[in-house]
Amino acid sequence: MVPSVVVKVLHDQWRAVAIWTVLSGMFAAFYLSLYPSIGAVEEMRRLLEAMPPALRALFAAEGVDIGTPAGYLNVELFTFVVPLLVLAVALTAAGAATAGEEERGTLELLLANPVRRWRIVVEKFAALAIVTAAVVAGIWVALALTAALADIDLALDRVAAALASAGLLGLGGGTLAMALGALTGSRMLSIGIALVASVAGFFVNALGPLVEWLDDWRWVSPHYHYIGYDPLANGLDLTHAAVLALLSLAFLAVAVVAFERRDLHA
Amino acid sequence: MGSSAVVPSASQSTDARAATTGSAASAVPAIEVEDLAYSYGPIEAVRGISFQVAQGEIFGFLGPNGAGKTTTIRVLTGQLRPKSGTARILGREVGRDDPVLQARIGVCFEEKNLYDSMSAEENLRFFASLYGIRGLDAEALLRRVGLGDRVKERVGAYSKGLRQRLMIARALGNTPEVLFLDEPTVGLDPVSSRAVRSIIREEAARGAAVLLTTHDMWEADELSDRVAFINEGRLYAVDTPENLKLRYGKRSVRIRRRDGEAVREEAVPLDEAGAGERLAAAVETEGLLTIHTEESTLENIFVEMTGRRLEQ
Repeated sequence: MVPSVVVKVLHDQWRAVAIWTVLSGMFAAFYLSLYPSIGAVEEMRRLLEAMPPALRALFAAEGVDIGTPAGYLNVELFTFVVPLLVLAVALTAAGAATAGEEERGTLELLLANPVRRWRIVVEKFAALAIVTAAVVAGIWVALALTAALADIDLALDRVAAALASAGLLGLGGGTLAMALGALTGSRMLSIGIALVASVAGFFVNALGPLVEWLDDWRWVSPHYHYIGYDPLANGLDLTHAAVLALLSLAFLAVAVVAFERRDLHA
Repeated sequence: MGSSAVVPSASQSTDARAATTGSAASAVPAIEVEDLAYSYGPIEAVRGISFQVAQGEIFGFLGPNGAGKTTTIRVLTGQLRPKSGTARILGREVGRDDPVLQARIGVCFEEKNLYDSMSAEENLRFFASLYGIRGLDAEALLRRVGLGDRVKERVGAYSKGLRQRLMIARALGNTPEVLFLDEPTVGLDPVSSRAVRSIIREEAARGAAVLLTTHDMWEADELSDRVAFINEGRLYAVDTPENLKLRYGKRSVRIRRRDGEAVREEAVPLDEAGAGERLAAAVETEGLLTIHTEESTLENIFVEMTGRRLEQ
């Protein structure tokens, strides 16, 4: 069966995704190109160490060495910027899925065709996964090219692992937005709640080591499963990756059930 | 509902259809609706309506805005689950999410929400792909609705009338056995409206049942084999336009005559006692200019039955 809805979504979004991918790649390349003049400098390491623990926790996981390319990328890109870039594209794409179509009025027409509702949701999810993968792939290509051009010793397999983890984080956030969109039919509401949940996840993971009661709850934060184990240094942990993947599948199941049951807005 | 309302039973509907569609009535009805109801929360949009539409029949569903026309179409096309009652299309119970049934019907909604970023041809090909149709002759379909010269144009640049024509082309792409058209000529110029009416007749002639909602009574009279009056979610009448006029309409003769410098006009109702004598006297009056017979229009009958005008 031809995945018509996937093709349609990609047809609609390819320009925006291409622009976002290029911008994200340029952003990542810019940060990496500064490594020799910032990250590799001893003063920068001391500056980070001199920060209050609560402030440092927002920028870098415990034990990260900013003096190495991987540590520098962890602090400068992967803790905050990469998840933000990936979540931005994922939430936007997810918001345009069922809730966006419902608000534009095109969903009524789509559902009048011989296509099951679950298939629409699953194909929208597949398109979301492709869009997210395109952005993280673009960042990887940009980092690989920059590392080669600037002669930076970067373990590209570890970068790929961290980006795969970021992709799974973005997919989770996007699928949450899809589920909320299927439940409410509201694009802004679904994006807004998913964004708040993502930010909350970031803070729970970042501040967990500093706040005793919060530390017990770090495991519920998707951000913890994304970067808590430092994939840039340790490679992809399949358990953490599976947690993120299962989270997306759980949200997908909610989206399917909600969309099957709901009457469209009049 | 006012005391003058006439809510037809299923048998009344069947009788009327038999009177107009002949042998088609013996086949499985294309649409069968029995005591169908739907509500949006506390608002009852459709309140227990019943009717049938035969294959090859054009059935006009007439009522003002908010009468329940679009909700009925949404239920019949599987967009909404009925709260009570039953609906069958081509003998198959209507349920939500039924691709088998949806593959046999065509729908043109009132809202012309096509995909603006795609061309007319791309829109048609995308929808055709959902039906599993390959090699759709999109150009021929677009030519049929008068869009042959705008095949590659982005739909976002289309006027309301052009979008309407594209919506109709989309609804015809799978050669449907049942066609639901929600206000298909709204926003069209007279030439385009005529072309759309011609397409509707062609579709019915090849055997498709057409359920047409409109608040244009002239159009309904012109096109429909039978019409149903719907208001506030209830059906008030189902019959042929002719029978409705004969049964509920008031015939009259309008006479114009010169009276000195002025022109006077007089209506003589033919259904009142003494109408013959009044008519004869009027004809013999000096200065007679014109005599016109007048039939009731569907609109007059609708207003009389429901107490509500169609543009409301």
